[in-house]
Amino acid sequence: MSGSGAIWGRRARNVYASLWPAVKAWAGSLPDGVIGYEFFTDVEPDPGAAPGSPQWSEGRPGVTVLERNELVSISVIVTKRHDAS
Amino acid sequence: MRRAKPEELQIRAVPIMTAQISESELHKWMPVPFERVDDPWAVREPSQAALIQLGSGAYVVVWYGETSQQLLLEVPETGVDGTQVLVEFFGEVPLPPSRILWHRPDIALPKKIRSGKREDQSSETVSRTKSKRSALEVRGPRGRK
Repeated sequence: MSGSGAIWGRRARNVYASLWPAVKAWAGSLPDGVIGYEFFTDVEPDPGAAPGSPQWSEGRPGVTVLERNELVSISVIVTKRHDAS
Repeated sequence: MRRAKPEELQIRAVPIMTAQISESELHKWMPVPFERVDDPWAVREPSQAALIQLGSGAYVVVWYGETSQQLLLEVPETGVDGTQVLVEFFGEVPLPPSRILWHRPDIALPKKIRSGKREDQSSETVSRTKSKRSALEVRGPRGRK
């Protein structure tokens, strides 16, 4: 299963004021039984992220700003998806 | 320490350390109200987060993943000495060194934590944890959510 598309990310509210919107993911394969989706992207993640926790923030190359300071997206190819039953 | 208001930090924060702790340890060691964030567009997993001001006046941002049980500690991107903030953080939070999964290589752990971590790393359990984490690091831009 695969499909092209975009994954969106927005900033969490009520944490701190200067938090930027970002797409956040785990590195690696989606384990069996875990709800979510697995994807590939050519967009380089932010430098300096914790290992295994890539994110793509507003202002980085390849990150599309859908709503400034609120909502961003990156282009991806989804290769696996587990929905809630 | 105290929970600070969101507007008190006007600078972007960046990760400096991750650790594995239980939710009860989180609330015992950092007794401040946390904000629960379960918006899947905003966090990798249902999380608890707080902007915390330490007794020294330094700010840290604490994220806790409820599923992974991972703590992510962030500090303001500019204008702070990350090494000093970690000294102050460990002065208030009794987090055992064996729980540290990663810290930014350009930021030194406090001396007492470094010596404790060396002793802990002789254990087989920690060695396995580190190996597993390294395997995830090499996957580059591929991700899952």
